[in-house]
Amino acid sequence: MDKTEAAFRVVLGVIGADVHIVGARVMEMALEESGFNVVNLGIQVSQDEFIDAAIETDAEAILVSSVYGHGEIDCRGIRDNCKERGIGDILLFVGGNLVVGKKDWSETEAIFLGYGFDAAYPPGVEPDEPIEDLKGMILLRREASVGKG
Amino acid sequence: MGQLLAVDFGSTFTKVRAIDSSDGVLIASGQSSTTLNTGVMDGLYKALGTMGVPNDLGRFESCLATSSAAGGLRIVAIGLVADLTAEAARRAALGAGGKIVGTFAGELARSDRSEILRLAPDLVVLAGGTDGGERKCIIANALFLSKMNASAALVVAGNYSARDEIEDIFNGTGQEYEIVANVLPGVRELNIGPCSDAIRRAFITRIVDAKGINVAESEFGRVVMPTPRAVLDGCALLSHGGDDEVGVGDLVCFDVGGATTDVYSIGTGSPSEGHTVQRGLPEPFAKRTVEGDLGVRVSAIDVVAAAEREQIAFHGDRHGGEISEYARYVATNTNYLPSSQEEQALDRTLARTAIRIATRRHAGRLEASFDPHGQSYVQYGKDLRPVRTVVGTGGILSSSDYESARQICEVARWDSNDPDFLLPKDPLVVVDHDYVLFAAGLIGDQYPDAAMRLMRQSFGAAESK
Repeated sequence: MDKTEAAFRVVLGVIGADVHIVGARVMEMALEESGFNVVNLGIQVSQDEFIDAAIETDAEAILVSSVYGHGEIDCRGIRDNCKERGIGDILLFVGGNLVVGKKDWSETEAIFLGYGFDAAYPPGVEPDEPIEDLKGMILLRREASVGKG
Repeated sequence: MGQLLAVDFGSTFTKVRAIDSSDGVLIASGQSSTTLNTGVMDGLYKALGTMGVPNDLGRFESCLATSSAAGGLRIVAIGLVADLTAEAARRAALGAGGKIVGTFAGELARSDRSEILRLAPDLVVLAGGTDGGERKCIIANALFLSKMNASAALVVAGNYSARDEIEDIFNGTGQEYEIVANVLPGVRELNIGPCSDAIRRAFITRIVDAKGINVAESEFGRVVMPTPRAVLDGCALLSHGGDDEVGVGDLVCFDVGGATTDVYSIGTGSPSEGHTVQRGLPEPFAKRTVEGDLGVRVSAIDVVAAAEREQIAFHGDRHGGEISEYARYVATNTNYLPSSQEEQALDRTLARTAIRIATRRHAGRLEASFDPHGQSYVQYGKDLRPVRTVVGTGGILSSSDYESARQICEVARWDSNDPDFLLPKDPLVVVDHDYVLFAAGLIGDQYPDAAMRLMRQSFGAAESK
């Protein structure tokens, strides 16, 4: 099979002490309908658990969901953690109900991109949008590595 | 009806049990020192002699044996991520009755290769990557192992998608290997059964002979499994029941030995109370852990040290100096038997402490988790609080009077002072007085009801003795 055609492999979960599972479930179903191979780690997932799973499954992206308002603290250092663990280039997406104090979305988004996320999404976004962005980024990566190899 | 002979070639003693195959009655017991140097059959015949039985194995309908001699089944486990596939490989090895002598995670380095050669394991379990997941690590490690000229048996239980490359690596090297299903096919799915079975096959066909455990095949049949696997099987049978004999359901068992304390639990261990989420690797239904630093002879000093670290006072028995002195003595005089009531009490204190620490390490634990909506719990490991049966086994418990032994085992209960250790809250505590759990595991496949009755009679010894 052409390397660029294999199913996209992603790890998904709700980070930190958050127990809100529904958003991640909705995302999981939407991803599967779009042909993704999704490993849903569920709720209360630590950074290390995301990374452990991403390594073992050779995932192309980690999708972090956070709904309870403390996502910013939970996500700090995740890109560095990935680098330490040998998957520094993995795609990192975050979405849900990301709130940082009284900041507006563009400032909040800037904070998460500053943490090393490749994309961040505000509350109320339809799954299609991150899914299309994700597909685009993964395909670019795959083509680049085929080109090198 | 016929008689069955169950033998355990232990690290110190060879134990024999003659069992009636129809009603599971224990007809006779015996033991003698294990004789590796002159061939294990020597010790076996001496043990039969202590039973008052002629040395005629042919009179038994079936002779089955377990072994933990020559250091037991020494295994090195290799995976990718320490908490995932490396841990899954360890659990498969423990479930097979093995002794983990080394664990490696990630790609092996040259010093790891030297370490593995130095350890000289009997068997290596190679895992890494979920199915369809990461493959570079397991392939690199396979390549590494293929150049090592180690004489160990090899079971490959990792990313199944990489099996062609792994076959290509080992074919033509003369390395004996078996590729089985992944111990961790998906990050939330543990599947250690096929790997444990493969380990057992290697044990029967290669490892037993390599260790010099040559048994008279014409009469005997092979050494069927490592001893701890037989105990695990006995526990699983006790839980599940036979054809007519009803099982006891979920249970916890511990085997206190001279060098180690093994703990077994049968059951899913899923959270028994609300607002609790389980984290960590999925738990094996039949789970074995081994505490290599907790035993009443070789490891006696380590028991005292562990108690000090964990700040356990030796309540009600002897304190400080006396127990340390006794521990130092028995650690080097491992065949020593207590010669006074005081020494008996010290022995019991060692056993009680080993059981307390070992069961707490085996049991799951709770951590409180706070979020804006209130408190919930995260559970690591198994919730054993609802377990209704606890079984104590091991030489020191079998040789004590039943009630004293049972009292020692009570320490495995849930303690309201340390509520986060998820131990059984309200169990029936019994003792394997006849020391037959290994025998039940051995005969249980073919004679499940006899095995059940054998165990029940041993546990019920309080009534008859």
